[in-house]
Amino acid sequence: MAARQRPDDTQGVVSSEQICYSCHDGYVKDSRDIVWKFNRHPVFVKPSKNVTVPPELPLSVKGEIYCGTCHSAHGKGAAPHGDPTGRTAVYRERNIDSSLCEMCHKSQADYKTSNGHPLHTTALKLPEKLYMVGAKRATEKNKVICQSCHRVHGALGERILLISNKNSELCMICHVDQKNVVDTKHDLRITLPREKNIKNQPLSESGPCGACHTPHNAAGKKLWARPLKKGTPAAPQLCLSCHGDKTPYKIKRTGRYTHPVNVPPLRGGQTKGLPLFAEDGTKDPRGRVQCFTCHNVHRWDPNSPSNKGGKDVEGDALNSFLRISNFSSKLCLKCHTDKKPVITSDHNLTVTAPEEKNAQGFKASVSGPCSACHVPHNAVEKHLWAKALPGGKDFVSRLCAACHNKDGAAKKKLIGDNYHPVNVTLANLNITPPLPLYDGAGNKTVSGKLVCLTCHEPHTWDPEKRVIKNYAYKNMEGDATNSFLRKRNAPSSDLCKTCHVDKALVDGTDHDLNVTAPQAKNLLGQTVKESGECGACHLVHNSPNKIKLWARKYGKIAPGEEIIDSLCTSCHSKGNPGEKRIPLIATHPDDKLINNVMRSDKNAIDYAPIYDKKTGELTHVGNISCATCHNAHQWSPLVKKKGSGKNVEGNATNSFLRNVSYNNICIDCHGLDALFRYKYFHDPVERVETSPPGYNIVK
Amino acid sequence: MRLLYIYLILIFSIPTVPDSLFALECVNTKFLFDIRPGANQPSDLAVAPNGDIYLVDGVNNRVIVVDRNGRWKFAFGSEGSGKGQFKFPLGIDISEGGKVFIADSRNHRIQVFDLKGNFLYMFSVRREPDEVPPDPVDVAVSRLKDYLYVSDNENHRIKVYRQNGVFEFEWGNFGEQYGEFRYPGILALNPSNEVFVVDVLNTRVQKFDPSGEFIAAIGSWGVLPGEFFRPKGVAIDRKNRVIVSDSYMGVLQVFTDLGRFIGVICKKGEKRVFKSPVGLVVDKAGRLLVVEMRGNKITVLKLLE
Repeated sequence: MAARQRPDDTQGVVSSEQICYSCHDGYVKDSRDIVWKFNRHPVFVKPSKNVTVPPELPLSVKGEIYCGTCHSAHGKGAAPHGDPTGRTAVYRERNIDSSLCEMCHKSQADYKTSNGHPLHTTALKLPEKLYMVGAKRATEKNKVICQSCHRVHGALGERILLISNKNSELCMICHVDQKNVVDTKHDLRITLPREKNIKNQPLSESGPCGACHTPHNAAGKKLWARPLKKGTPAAPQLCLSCHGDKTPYKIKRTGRYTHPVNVPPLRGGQTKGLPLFAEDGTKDPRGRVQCFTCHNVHRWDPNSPSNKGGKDVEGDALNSFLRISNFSSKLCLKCHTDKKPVITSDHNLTVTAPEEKNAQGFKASVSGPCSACHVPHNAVEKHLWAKALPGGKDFVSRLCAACHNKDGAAKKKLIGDNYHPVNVTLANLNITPPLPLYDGAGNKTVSGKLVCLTCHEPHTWDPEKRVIKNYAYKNMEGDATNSFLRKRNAPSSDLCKTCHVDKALVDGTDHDLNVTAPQAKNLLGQTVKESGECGACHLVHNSPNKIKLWARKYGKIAPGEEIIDSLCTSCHSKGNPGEKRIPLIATHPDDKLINNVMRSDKNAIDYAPIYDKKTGELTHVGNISCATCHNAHQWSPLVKKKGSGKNVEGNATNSFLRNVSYNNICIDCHGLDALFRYKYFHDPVERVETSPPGYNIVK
Repeated sequence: MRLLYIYLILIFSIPTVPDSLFALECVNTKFLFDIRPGANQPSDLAVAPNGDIYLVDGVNNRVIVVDRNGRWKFAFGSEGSGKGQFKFPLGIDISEGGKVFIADSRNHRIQVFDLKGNFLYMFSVRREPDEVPPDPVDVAVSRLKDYLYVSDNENHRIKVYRQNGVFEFEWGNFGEQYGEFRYPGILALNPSNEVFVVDVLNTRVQKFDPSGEFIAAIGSWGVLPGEFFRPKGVAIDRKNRVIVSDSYMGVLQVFTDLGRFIGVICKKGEKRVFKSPVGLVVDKAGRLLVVEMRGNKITVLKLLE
């Protein structure tokens, strides 16, 4: 520094403080209080390494800052009484909006690079109180300049701040909202009293704001005053450096299963007022979801700034530094708008099971609808699951079974012993439905398995009326139009048909009871319009009949006959909808076992399934049953299309036959005269059999 | 040119050159004690008839009272513009009747108290149309006609009132001529009620008769003995000598009342150095009390000669 001195400037005499004081002691000008009573810019010290003093601002003969470094009676900035262009107080250079300060404090001036408090911004309204405590007004209203916070002479605070900032008083003049952090758990004076910031300042020095923020040369954006790991996004670290699982602090860790952060918002960024942030933590409307998207870390209770919580107070959905109260899960639903219909559903446990507790011990009535099943932090399992999980089964089924078990909150809504298969792979069945499939860990995947959530969307009671007006807030009995189904399943069984595409060909045929028996009711007492076409014959849950989840009372069969035929006879029997279509003889002689190994390809034209006589399960060796030759869901094997919607008379080319060619299972034994035998088979008059009278003959 | 060069060398080297080189004229004193009452940049002092010492602690907006031995007695005043409140007062004087006059500088007024610090009355220093707001920096009470001399620093005038606040007359203007001032400061009166005004930036003390007629000038600009760089305080001792403090040079110099240099206040033949000496007074016991503004104390000396 001394090397820059010109020999003819800053003599020892005039560079002494005493020369200034000799006039400014009140007997020429009175600067006793401004300069000598309170804090002032350091003088008679060598510039620190963080400061670059330009040649225009001379140092003393000792290379020290002295009064004359900034002041000169004859400098460019000197003006007797000051003027608006920064010429005042005998400055060496003009001081327009603290430009004189910035000549040396280049790092602070370049705040974007050095992570400092913004300068020359007018983004925030500067309150009049700031000027009352000594801030200098800039050339533009609300513009932040060095002298908005600092006073070169007459500063009441340390570091020549306008006022003492040991309790962050100065910060809080402008940052009024952040003032609410005082006395909350985020006031580290309460929770981590021995903590120091990156500048090694104890809390007694830094104040509550300074524990996490420092106005100059911060560790990152947000004026962050705590260590940040380089190479990883800063935004999550701001919170997780204290609350993370791998930190030495054991304070409110987020747990293994926690809401994702630093992720894009759902559905293209609709967060309904919740802020998004860039990876560095700065606000960015096109940014990502960060901790502070949901949390306002400076305010414990969004509805009451006076509620500070306190060191030992456990938070809940109404406070916990949430940006808005999560009463009725309003905060969750800001982003998860598609889940909003859960409010008007039986899955809103605040209504249907208010006493039910989640894993954190909060009753549903307290936690809100979402948190009855999901919590953002310290969840039990994936999907932020908030309830104890039963063992076994696939992951998703376990989620459902957490309530839908015999002792659970949904014990009246069980699926019974006979229900649609779950945890099955559809790829083998050559089905690729536009419905979600899940792997064993509960992740959605196209190669996954069919689970409860494949058909059910647990957040929406009625797929077409997403939010139900005038919801009765009672346990509603569902039907095929709602019941959290992903699609309505009545009056048309659209949901079933999503996967069971081949079965959908039943529509409009005689087996579509809309055509032939619209008034017939299934075991639940539903007509076909109420149950859907599929539901007329099959119950997805709680079917009393295991075989094909049959929705009707099994038909009568003679002892020793194929039980699978009892499905057919449930209609095709006297007094039932199919009574006009009762074959006189509906059985094949049972001592003639058939092997269908070569005809067991479901997709082949010669498919001829054989069913176990007692269980009705598919097998390869057994007797011919109705379904060996008939495909109950397709009127004509030649035409893969739905029926005409009329009750039509069939013939040998349709009539739900599987195969009308000569290449059918019959010829395996009967040769090419099988057709003759076929007719014979169904005609008791032509049939010559040694069986006892009445046997094998349908009465 | 050569003489000028030598002169400049002398100017800027004298604070560090041993006094012995100049065969310094000394007025020796004996150090008695310091009084450190906790003041911040005290400026002026006065001695009451009972010997108590009143110190203007202007930055703290109060007057501190200690006894003749420096023991704390009490203080009065606080910051403000109300009665009994101050805004950075600088000067003080006490009448024989026991009235304490305070130059309440930034309140542009004179306040009067009793010796216990009770407010009695006050009056604003008048402002002529061509004047800036008055800046009274010192007061001096005279037995003659109850005059109260007020030094209006920024208007470069001495304004004369009756002690009850009635304005009488004034003199002075900005300038370097005799009778003119550049920032008049501390005042003192001799037993003849002649007025001594420290003319700070003219680096002299001017002596006037009680009506403001110029009599003599003491000192001139310089850093040699008998010269001033920043004269601040003035006091008259029992020998009618004029003692002047120089706050920058840190010395006190003694003159005859017509301006002949007698000597520098010394300690055993060497100059005493003070830290921004300002207000001075010689009490009835002949002690010289010096306010050291940046030393935040009063130094009490005994004049030996």
